[in-house]
Amino acid sequence: MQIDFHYYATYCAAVIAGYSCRDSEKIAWCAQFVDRCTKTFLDRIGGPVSAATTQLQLEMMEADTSLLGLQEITRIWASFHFLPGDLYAQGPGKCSRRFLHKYRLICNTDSELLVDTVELARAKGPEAAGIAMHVLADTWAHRYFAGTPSLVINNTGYYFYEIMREGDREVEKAVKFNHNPVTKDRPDRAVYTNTMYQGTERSMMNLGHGRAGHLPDYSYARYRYMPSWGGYMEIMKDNPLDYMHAFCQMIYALKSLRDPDGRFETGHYDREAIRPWEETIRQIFEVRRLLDSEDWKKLGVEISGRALEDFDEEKYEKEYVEADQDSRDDTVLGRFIMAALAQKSMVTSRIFSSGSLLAGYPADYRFNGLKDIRDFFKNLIDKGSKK
Amino acid sequence: MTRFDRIVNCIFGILQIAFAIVLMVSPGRGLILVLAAISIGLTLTGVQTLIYYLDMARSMVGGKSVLYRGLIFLDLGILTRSLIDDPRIYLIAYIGLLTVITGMVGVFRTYDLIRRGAVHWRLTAAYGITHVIMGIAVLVFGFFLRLPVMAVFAYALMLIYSACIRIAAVFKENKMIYIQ
Repeated sequence: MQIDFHYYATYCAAVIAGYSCRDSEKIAWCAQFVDRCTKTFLDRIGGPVSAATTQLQLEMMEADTSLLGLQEITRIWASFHFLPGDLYAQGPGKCSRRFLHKYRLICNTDSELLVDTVELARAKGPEAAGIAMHVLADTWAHRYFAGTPSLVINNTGYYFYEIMREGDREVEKAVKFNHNPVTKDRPDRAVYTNTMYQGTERSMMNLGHGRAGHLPDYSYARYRYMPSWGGYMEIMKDNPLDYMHAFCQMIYALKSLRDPDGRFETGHYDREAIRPWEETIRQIFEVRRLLDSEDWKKLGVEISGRALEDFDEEKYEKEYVEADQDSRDDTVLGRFIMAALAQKSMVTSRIFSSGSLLAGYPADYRFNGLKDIRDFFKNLIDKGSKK
Repeated sequence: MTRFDRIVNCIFGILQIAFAIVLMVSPGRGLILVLAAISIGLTLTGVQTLIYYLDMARSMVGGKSVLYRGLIFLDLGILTRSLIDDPRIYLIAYIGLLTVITGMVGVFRTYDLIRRGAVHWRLTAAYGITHVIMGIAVLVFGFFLRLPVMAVFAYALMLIYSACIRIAAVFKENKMIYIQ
């Protein structure tokens, strides 16, 4: 998903869920900041680099795809953008253990890990809630792709069709992919940019939905294709419907986080809450354009009576940089970093518990003499135990 | 290209230049050394690809292409090994043909890149065309004009050129899509 959903739509969801405008803004800012918090940024502000929630193009280009490098990539992408749907899935027929471990990282909605993600954000403020909302929303857009570089999971072939409306009838067009990142996607012609085919399993070109381009990130997109993991099964993806589910589930999750006795459960979507704006939201999802920020912004004004300012990446940077070491964790960025570390540690731990080393060792393993994510020791466990 | 790929490409480039020098100094022995290296490289790639197929790609849609790729590499590796004991003229013909095929793959790859709207295709085109021309030169000198030393020199020049392209690619800027 893009800024239109992660920032503007999340703001609307938070207001509908009953948060104040101020808290809703923070939730929306943190949800969008998950797509901006890179190692480079953290290094610049003097934060712990292992709290990175995404990677820059340059960082991905330079990414080391050795075992340790892959673990770092998987920790970031599986924890925040491609939350695994079932870490104990059986796999399609007879397959090797190595294949199974990658298969189990395929992102899907309404998983146990999603429950853990939302529950982890409970009573931790709007920053943790924002991160959880980013993860939740992305499970709907990125389902069927895995947050690790893998040809056998993430590759897509020529069998890729977009379903679109022409006048009164629905037509199918074969999606034409090109690999030139300079060219813009053309929704009118079903021409999109994707990553180049690379026959090597660990190539960064095979990370997430790179082989399907940005198509999963567009709310209007309806497409069918054959994923490489499904044994020639066809997948029909209906983004307008999925995005509506994502929006309603965000409202339900945020309401449950506000309730001190609440407990998030999967399969609940607060459709009732959006009733007054349902048609407007549906129209936003259906329009064939690359970004819906303006429409969401207008809806935000209608719902909250207040205009949400444009996203500013550096909004809370000064507060964090100028705070002394002891009070940094009480700033917005400080709480965001702690929540990000907790989320990453939780997902890594769950993947490790399922018998896979694809995301590395969880932070708890320091007690067993194994060393892994040093920043985790300093920031998460040590500070946590001090408190 | 990752940092690791860049280092590996650089090392391969330097090794190629070293081979080319050996070929020029001692065309007879050098040729056998090159064939042995090609044979080992192709066999290892074939085995590695087959293991990848058995372990992972057999569960993937279109995974059979990985199996065929592995078998072809393995076959070529074994075939190359069997040619080491053959008369030099056949070695030259084989190397010439292999170079032409490599060049043709480069040319087709360029065509595909242009068709798909890629910006960076000139380096691939230069690589392909040079390989085709030098491969033909090797075949003409060695097989038709019966000038094996000239053929080996042509091949050595092509190796140096290929090494330079490989090293130049290390400094090429990468393009990638940012997944959000």
